[in-house]
Amino acid sequence: MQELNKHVKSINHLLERYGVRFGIYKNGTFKEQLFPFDPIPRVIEHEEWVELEEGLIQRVTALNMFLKDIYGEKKIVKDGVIPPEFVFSSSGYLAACEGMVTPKGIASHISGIDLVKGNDGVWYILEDNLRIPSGASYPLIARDLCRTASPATFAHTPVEDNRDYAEMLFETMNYVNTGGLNVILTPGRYNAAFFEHSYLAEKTGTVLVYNTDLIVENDVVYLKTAAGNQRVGAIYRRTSDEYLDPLAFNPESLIGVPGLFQAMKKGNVAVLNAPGNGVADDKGIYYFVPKMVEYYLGEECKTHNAPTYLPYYEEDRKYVLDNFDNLVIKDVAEAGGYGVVFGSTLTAEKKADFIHAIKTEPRRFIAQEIIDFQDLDILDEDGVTPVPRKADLRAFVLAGETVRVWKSGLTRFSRDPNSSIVNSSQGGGFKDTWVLSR
Amino acid sequence: MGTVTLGKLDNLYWLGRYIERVYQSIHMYKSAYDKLIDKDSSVYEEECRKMGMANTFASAEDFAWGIAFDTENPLSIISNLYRAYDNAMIMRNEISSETLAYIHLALAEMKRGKISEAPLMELQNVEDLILAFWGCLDDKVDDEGIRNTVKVGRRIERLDIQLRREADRKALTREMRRLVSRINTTELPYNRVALLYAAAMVEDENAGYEDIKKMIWDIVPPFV
Repeated sequence: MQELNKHVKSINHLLERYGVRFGIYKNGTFKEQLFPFDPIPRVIEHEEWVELEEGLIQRVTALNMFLKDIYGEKKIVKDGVIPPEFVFSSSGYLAACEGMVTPKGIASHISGIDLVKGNDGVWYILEDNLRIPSGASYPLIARDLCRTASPATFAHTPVEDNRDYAEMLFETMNYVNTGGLNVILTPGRYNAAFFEHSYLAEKTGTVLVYNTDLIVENDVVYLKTAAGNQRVGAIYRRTSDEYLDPLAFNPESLIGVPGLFQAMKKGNVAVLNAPGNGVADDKGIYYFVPKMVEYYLGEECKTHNAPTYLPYYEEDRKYVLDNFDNLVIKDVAEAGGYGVVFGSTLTAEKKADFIHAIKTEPRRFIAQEIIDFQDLDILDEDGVTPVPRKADLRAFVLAGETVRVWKSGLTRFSRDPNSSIVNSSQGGGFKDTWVLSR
Repeated sequence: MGTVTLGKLDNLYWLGRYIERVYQSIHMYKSAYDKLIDKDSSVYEEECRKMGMANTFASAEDFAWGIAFDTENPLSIISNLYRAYDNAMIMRNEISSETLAYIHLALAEMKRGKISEAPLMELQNVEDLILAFWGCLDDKVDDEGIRNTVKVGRRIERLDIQLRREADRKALTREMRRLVSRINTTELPYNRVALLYAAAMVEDENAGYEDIKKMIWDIVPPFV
């Protein structure tokens, strides 16, 4: 493993060569930058992974059952397991999806589950991302480049090969395909994750398309090619729900495909992930995922949520207000590391504002105990000295014929020694994730 | 080319045009720069004329830097390379990551040249990388239609530049024949009549360069 550190320059050169970048908007200007890569991998022992894998499969299975139920019979609400306020007031709940039946009953085909490993050795789920989770392409290409730069490292270490992600994704698309081409729909060249869209299109051998390349006629989606229209059977869309179809959602969307939602509702095309999934990865709903597992599967939840409090409940609200300085408060409407504050870091004035907001809009917030999570070493700017930094893991779970966890994942780290925010949009970097095969 | 959209055909075509523009511009630039070293400042005025751009440069040094590395100048070499990059990066799964990598590398070299004391060295590397790009395109892209769409862009651009620089008829005829042999293997919606006229005009000593140039532009009119 140390061998890789010696090759950091070569690896960075290869990352530049292949344009491993992400886009970011700063002061209204689009910029592309290299995603900082650290060669020291996160290593997960085989036994530890087996346990984690079981939990993740269970979790995503339950979340898919929840989505099917919520836009269908709503039994979990009727049975009083989840209060209706948490479902129907969620910004991710889309009334337009009511009654929707997705091909093969799957709504979250590609789920990105964010975890951290506590110093107590327990993996805690931070959040579920069931809309358009990104990031798989980075460890995928990094592994390929690391193997090029240092073959000896991999010859001597029993690491699961992670280069099957494209195949897994392709199989997932094929499983739900209603007859026709598989395509990846990108919002465009200036999307933060455009590298990923184009790279996954290349690796899966699917067609990368823009909204203007697609047309819906008689509730069937076609790709407009130079040789004529060709039917589309599955769309791995990387456009968010509100912009997906101006006829169904935001009418001002210029990056959507008019009529797509209706085609989907008629069962003429599979959309991965289905619209409306935001109701299940809402930060408020997160609290209820263990209850979902018990309700739908009759099993004890194998994954661990961070201890979470909902100010919506009076008892929890009292606890949150009494222990404000020891908690991390999250605005459920925010994402990407935004809207997350540590109670102890606020000024008196800001704290008062927050407390007021919690009292008046309790549904808007959740509060969590601060997890003392493990640091991982990264190489310092000198490229030699290891320094500890906060890091999380995004595990990718693919639901097709079976539910499978990709034996790798995106490990993101904070480059700031005083920060726990690992998001690339806020300066974080990434590592490969090695799952040991024995 | 069964699943190539019209939008992507346009990107492939313009990728060929811009990458050739960069390649040819470097050749011209190197020749002009060499003369400027000997303080022949009239060179840059002539170069501006041939490139069809207004001479807004304050000095020969200003010209030497600006025409190569000024990202604010849409006619500079670096700006054209950025345009090539814009078209290439959205064609990753048509041209492959390996081929695209040469554009990334060329851009990185160009940025290094911007701050170099001897920028001709980096420009030489850019030239080499462009040649590697063409080689990789031939080697890695199985679809002949895709390859030839990029190459049609290259041929049209080269003809356009040759006409601007009043190249001899032999060179023009050679380029035109290459274009004719490729364009039929693409799905580009091109103007057959303009192609036939242009081919005939190139071989007709009486046809003026300006008229040929206009006909060349009509061969692949905007189609997106």
